[in-house]
Amino acid sequence: MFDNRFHARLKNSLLAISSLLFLLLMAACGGGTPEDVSFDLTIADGAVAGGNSTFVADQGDTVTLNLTSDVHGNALLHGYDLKLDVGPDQPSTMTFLADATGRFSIEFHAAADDGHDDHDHDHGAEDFTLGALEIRPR
Amino acid sequence: MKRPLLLGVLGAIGLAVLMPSTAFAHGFGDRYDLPVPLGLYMSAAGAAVVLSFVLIGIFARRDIGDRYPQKNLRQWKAVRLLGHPVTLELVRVLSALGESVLFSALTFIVYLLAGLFGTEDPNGNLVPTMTWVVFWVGFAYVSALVGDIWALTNPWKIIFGYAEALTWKATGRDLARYEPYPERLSAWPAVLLFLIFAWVEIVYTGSGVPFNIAALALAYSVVTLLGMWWFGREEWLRNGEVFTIVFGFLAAFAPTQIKEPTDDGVSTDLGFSVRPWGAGLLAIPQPALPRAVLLVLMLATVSFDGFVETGTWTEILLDFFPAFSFLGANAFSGITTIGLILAPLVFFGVFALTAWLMGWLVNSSLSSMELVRIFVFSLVPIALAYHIAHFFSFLMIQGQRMFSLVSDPFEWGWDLFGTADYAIDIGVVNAHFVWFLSIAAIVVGHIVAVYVAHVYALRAFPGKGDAVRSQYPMLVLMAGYTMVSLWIVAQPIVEA
Repeated sequence: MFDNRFHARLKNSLLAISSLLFLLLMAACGGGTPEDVSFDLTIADGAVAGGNSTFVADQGDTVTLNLTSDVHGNALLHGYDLKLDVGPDQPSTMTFLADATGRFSIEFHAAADDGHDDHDHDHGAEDFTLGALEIRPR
Repeated sequence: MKRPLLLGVLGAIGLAVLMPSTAFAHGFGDRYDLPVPLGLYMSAAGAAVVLSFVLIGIFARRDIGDRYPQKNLRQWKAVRLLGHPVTLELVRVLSALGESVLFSALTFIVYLLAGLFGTEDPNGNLVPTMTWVVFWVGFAYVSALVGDIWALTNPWKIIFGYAEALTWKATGRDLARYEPYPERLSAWPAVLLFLIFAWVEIVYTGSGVPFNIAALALAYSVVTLLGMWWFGREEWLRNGEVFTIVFGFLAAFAPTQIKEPTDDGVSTDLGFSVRPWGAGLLAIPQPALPRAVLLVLMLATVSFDGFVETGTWTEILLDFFPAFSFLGANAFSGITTIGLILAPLVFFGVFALTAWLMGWLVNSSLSSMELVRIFVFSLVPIALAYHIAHFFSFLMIQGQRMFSLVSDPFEWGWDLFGTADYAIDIGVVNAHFVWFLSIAAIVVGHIVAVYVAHVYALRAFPGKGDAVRSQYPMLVLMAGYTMVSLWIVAQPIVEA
């Protein structure tokens, strides 16, 4: 009725492949101790200096973002939902523990905002992406 | 007397559509997926290809026939438990709850009210999360992995059915007109409606605004209820109710099938059958052309949805912007709309070509269109696997919003269940787990697809050795489709 050898062979193949993938995943594991890392972003002339970058850190690191801007506004790190006011002559810093993995975009909202919550308004013309922060698993 | 309301709703929708807003495209909600690393991506691609050849080799050497794996499941205690009267009673109770008019109508009314009158904040309002996370993503998962939940909970089906029962009791007559459904019309209304839905999900920048969603849902309700009234409930569900058909496609993959009691006066027990995942694809009847087109449309839009989040698409948008600058602020929407129309056309074209090649290789008398219809369902596992890979984190993270939303759906400061202050945990799933799940799903989906296609081939080309020979073009197509899925999950997500 049902060909058990076929089923067994298929199962073995799948098992072999998943084991291989699992091993590769474990090999991709960096391990190591948590570090302090910091990244600098400069906002000038309506864009981020050097273009959008992807900043990379590992899970468990303490991440510091240093921002300088020629206009007033706030920078928002999505996911972690951390907001930082920035402006001329006001280098601003946010420091946090990167305990969740993922890729999180960093956006700039120009000041014209009057205390709105970060997500509940349409992005205006002066809003733009500063880059993304990738927190990789260990 | 109905017209002013209809006009009002249409007007509101028209305004909402014409007003360029810059809220999220792609349904709603942030995604924080980390791109799958290159090594994993390559391994998965390699595994998919190698296993395909292993499978073809096995098929070539053995006459498996078109029987699907039918283990005597009753030998497993867990399965015997499923047949236990207690389990069946549980299924009956849950089904009854899902189907209950009160639950369904109440939920739908709260949903509409929240969208129309609740807060405009997409994150604080029940509607965007319930639509794009719970319904579009969540129900797809459940439909494919558990069973056809939409057939059970479809609010329009339930509400209309209740109205019919009331009318019958009160007047002894049918509510619906039961006009004959034009045969040539078939499922084309659903194709059109799905195209509109896909446009709203992928292109429309106002797709996260609660009011817009509720207005569209209201319009769709009108269309659906009118269709049911004119042609009869079942006839419309079969041909025009988009979600019944689309979730039905996915449910063909599911391990359960609930046979509902027929309403021809004979009350039968709720039938509940269990089968391996994917086996249902071997038992469904061949779709007619409009249904096959709808399936292709669904598959193409699932992939296109992921594609528009890649850096490659951003480059395409920038390249074509000058040609579309006459649209002003809507230029990107215009380009994406063209893409949305082209994607299924390209998909269909490539698939039709593959079908033609298959027929040619074995000298089959079947036409390419017939072959398209015969084989189209074998692609479902690949799309499903990609859908699982692409949306798992999204469901796990954004889905958590429901905990606070059920307590305060309008964001009016309520706390009905005490969970209004629940804060979502973005660390709930680790990237390692998501990567592994994603590529495992994609590889397994590919294998199931190859298997299902082979069974279809055995039925279509009974000649000795023909089935295997016919599958080489299909293998190339599926490998290509799987590679596209892998490529997309390996790309960093680019916010529009």
